Amino acid sequence: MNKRIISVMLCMLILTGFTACGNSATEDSGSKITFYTIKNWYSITEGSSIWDYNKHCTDSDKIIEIVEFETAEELKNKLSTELMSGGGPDLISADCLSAAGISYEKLIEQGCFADINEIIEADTSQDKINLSDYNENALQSGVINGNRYYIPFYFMPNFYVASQQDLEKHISADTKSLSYNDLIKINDKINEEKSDKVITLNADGYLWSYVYDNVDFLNKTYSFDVEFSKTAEKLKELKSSGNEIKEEIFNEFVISPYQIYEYCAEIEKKEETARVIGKPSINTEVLSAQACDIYFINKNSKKKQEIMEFIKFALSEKEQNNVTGAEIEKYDNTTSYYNGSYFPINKKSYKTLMNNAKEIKYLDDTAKISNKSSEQLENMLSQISDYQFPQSTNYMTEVGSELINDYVNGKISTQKFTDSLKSKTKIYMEE
Amino acid sequence: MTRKRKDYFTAFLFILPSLIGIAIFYIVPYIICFIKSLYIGQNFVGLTNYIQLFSNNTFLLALKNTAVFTVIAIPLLMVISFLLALFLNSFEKISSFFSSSFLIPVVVPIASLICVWQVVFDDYGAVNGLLNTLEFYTVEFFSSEFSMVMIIFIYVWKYCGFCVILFTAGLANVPKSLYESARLDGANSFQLVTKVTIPMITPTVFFVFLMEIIYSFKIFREVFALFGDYPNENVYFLQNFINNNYYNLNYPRLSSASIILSLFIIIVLLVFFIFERKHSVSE
Repeated sequence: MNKRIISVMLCMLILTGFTACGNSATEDSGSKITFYTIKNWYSITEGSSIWDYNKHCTDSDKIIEIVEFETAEELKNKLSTELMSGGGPDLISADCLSAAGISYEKLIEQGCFADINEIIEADTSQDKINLSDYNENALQSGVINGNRYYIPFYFMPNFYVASQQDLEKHISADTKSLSYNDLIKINDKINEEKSDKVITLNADGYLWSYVYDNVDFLNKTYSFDVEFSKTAEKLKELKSSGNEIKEEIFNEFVISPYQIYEYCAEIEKKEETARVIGKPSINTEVLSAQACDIYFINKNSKKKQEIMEFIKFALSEKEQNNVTGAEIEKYDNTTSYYNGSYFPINKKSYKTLMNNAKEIKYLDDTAKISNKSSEQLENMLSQISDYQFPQSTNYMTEVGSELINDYVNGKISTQKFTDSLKSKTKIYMEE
Repeated sequence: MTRKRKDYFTAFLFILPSLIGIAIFYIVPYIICFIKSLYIGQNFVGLTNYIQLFSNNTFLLALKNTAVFTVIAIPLLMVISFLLALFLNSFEKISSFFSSSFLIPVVVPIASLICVWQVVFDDYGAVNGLLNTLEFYTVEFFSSEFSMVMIIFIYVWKYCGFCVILFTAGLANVPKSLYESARLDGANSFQLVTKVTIPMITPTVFFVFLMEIIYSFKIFREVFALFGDYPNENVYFLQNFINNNYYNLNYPRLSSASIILSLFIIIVLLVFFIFERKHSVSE
């Protein structure tokens, strides 16, 4: 009899033990929208869309419940397990997926995200999103295989700012966008002339972006041919010119019109002409921009309409003005990020921002931007036709990073680099 | 209730806790996995996932590499460990410290071993240093077809000691009188091994084979620690494919690949058990 009691007790112990397996992290969220992130990640810090929305939200049920994880690994395990079992957070940001090392291209392929077009259609409220109020080209970046998986809140043009006097020695005046070969040519000439300028202090970055440019994650194609090897070899050599502390030809950190104009003002102060030019890319005929601040809606979410409240808020003129600093009265270049970042996709907000950026003064409130520079930037912005899906950091972490480091540090030959890249990319794309 | 029935019932109750565990953690997930492998999203697609899997080049590559590894590494490990066991068996007495030292590779944490292997097989590591001294070219163990050689070497090194101990235990049970009789009949050393030793330790050979099959699927830990999620195509195994598809959330592909892998193991083991049972009966 005792034996039976012991065995029954054992069974009960096991069964009750299973109840402890559930994670309480998300249980308390109840009717709230859930969002997973890594602790102190910038997407939830002050000034972010989520932070602003929660501050603005008066209805506690509509607040976004932020579940923070200590490490990226923890977030990755939790997110992948829950998504796979038909659960997961309601709102998923591209930044957090990147940080967790999860490829959003592959999640899109698996149908993990909801089609926002369907949610908009089902919205019966008066303030229903009208897509024509926003930059149509930028919105198009979220449309993949006919479904709208995200609405980017902002964008960043892939532009550089440089002095026309520096550039005219190397490239023609009508060049809209740099090619990687242009970079190599400029670098060669700089080295020949023993100039006091360099292409960049971060030469590895060009190799990274060149690899990215040769991979199409959505269509699962890549091109690592002979031409790729030749260019990669030359780009690797840019590193040698980046070792010394010299002035860079290109101003690369372009996150707002204010920053572009600040660079332009610096150049104009030297009585040179500022030139805005497209970042190096394979297709020099097309000007591109990066879609920013991207949120996906979990297909399993039961709060899709509630999430639309957040999206409406983030797309509103007021919020977009606030984040991009469209109405600032003074630009402080020492805290440029807090003056506002990004370019808004809300048309009204965009107009306000661009007008304001032309009006205010730069270089510590001492210089106004010339009409030529502002017209040039506006003209370039109007020509952007390719709003790119954000690059998957997962590919670089898993495939490219180690190879590029080994290659740049001379541990592997160009042939080995290309062959390994080809082989690993093939597996990454096909599996 | 008779006493026998009562005993059965009590025994069953004692088995029940582990049965619940096995059912919840193995049987039920396996059934769910199989069902999921027949679906894409909410749509029943029958065997489409399996058909697609066999037209997926990456899966075929993983399957090929796994098969190559299994076919080469397991027989190699069995032969080496058997020969070492025979050699050790020729001694009258072996100290317990020496015997237990064979288990060290199995118990040392993988992370520590990986650090050692990285130093040993690096382009500027010990093995290449030796090869260069002997005027051979540097072998890129981490990015060439030699990666498979390295993984097989690590596998054999790691599990050899354990298999030697199993074989030694088997050899110790072979009666000495059989060898003496065979010698009187004029058998040489080779014949002693093939005609006496091997037939007598067949159950041990089966057991070692079974263990090696299981361990061969555990080698993924070493591959993962050495090469990460995306190893070069020479050492991309089925476990890599399954692991990566887990993080890609490709449930249909993941579940169908897992079912195929498990079926492969089940079939091999089933054939093996049938063989063993027949052999035992004939004995």
